[in-house]
Amino acid sequence: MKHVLLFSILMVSAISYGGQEEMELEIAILQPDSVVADPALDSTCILHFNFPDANDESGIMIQYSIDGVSGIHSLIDNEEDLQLETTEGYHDFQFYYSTDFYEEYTSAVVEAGNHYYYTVVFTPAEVMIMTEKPVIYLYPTEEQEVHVNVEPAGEFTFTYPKYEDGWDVLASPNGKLTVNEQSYNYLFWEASEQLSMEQIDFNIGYTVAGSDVTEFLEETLSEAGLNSTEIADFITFWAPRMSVHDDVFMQFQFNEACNRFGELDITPRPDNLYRIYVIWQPLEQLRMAPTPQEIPKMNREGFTVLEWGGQELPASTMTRSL
Amino acid sequence: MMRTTYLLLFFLLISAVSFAEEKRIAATFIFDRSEPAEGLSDEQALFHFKFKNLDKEDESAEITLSCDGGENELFELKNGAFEYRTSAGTHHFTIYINDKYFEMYSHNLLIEAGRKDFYSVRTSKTEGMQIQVYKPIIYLYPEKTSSFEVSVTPKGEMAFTYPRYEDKWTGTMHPNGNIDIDGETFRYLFWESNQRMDALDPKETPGFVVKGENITQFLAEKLNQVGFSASERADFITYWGPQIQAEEQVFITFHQDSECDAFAELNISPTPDNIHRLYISWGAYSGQQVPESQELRPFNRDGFTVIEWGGQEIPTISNTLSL
Repeated sequence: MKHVLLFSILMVSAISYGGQEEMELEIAILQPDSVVADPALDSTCILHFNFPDANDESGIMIQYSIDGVSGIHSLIDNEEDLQLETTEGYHDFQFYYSTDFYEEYTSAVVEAGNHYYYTVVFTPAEVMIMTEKPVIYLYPTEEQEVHVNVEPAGEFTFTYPKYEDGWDVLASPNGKLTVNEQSYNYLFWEASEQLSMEQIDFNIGYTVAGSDVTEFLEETLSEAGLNSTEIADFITFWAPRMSVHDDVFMQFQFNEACNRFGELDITPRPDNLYRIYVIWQPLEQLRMAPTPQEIPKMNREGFTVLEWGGQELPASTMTRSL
Repeated sequence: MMRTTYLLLFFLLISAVSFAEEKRIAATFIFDRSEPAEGLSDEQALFHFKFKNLDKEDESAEITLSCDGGENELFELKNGAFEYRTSAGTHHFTIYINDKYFEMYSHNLLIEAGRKDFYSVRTSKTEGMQIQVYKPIIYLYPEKTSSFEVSVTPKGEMAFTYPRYEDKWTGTMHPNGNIDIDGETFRYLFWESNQRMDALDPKETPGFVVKGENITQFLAEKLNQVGFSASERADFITYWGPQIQAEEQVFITFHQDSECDAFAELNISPTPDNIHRLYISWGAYSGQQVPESQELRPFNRDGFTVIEWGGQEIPTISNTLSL
């Protein structure tokens, strides 16, 4: 059975594009695969949309809008193409399938009396994310040579001092590091990697008001066992960016879990290696109540290595009130 | 039903993601509508550009345009708009009005034969933007352990401080640079503020044009020249290096010592023998202007010395069309 939806009966979407009216769109004209004349159509035309990507189990429906009016095309009840009857002229479309793909914006120019057949191809929604500012501190029990290797999950974008097949460091118990006769407090690297938002479990972590970020981080990082210098390095890097938002979502990753950002190989082997990364995201409207995390305590006995870093995820404007 | 809710949530999320890419003060061509155009030959099409936020006297300005990287063409605006006749297909534009506005770049605009497409073009003024002064950090190096007071009076509004700042920071400082406040030890004092600034103009400002990929070497050289220690240099380079490196080319100008009063005034007691401040202003730059080279003065680190560094990313006037 064919579903021909008329604009006039399309439900008006409750979804608002709040705050995005100002943003520009680059709208490409969608070219039809074929155009078939139909004498039965008088002053209208029928658009057929086929979605070859929409069969990978990541979604159950296509959400669309035509000239700002939204509708839903179920892929369960209706195996057929999405069909829309419309008037001749220029029309804007948006299509959304699942979190695995970006929303598509497109447009078409059509004439009455025809069937138009279109193929809509979605762009995969993996995003390039920067793993930012991992810094590594080394605290040996006596002055010694240490070799540090990092295998980032993506590509290095920046290292300091310069990383060449690892860093060769003369490390002192007070944390002073000497590389090529220059002294440093930490080793620094950054990388960018492909990340799918589906990898993140937003049900675990914290929602923190921007104004409380400093206090929250001080508390959490002291609980983890970082000292005040390390906490200051962490806070002065992340907190200014977080505190400009009303609310942020934060999730910490510890130790082995941080291998997903990069693997560390240190010789000689430290007695204690502690890694803490923050994944965070500005929240515009959302008030989630995620489950707080267990913060493991850093053990600073013997040769101790600390690394911290993080990732800022693209802003979310999602609401959970539905 | 949960699934539906989930999808709706991410619908919004993903649309935000896809918008987040344009960072530059540049392409601001917004498609408004299309209509059939008369008087065009078979393969021709017409763009209609209407500029937003123009000053009254610029609504009939003469503008410079380059289509698809081709030669400069001059057009006179009428009521802040003009039309450009071209072939059907994909085109991109660079448009320069005058030095009150940033040069504008379009993305690739597709137009079909026989049509007139209307675009709004958002202009950006080069004057008086709200700019954040980032990460000024202050190091204290006394000759002997003693108590101190530091106050900062920024020209704009204080956006962030660490450790917490209430009218001033007070504590104990040590010759090795350690700062004790409320029983905690720090290496530096940190503040940030927001203030109004004008765009950088490489025609009028001494400085440097540097490729992003050469930034570490460039900064290391300049900071060595003025007398940063290795760990101060690492703090500076690990903060600014990654951001600047992401740009193809930047314009950089430094501000030293009393010039930094334009950002904030520092009051320190006891009075230091030397206060040295170095701020960097930088912005992505696609122009070819060779700025007048800037001389940096070396720090004197004898006696009780205070070092502060900071900076700002600030839009830079890149007028590629007038060169």
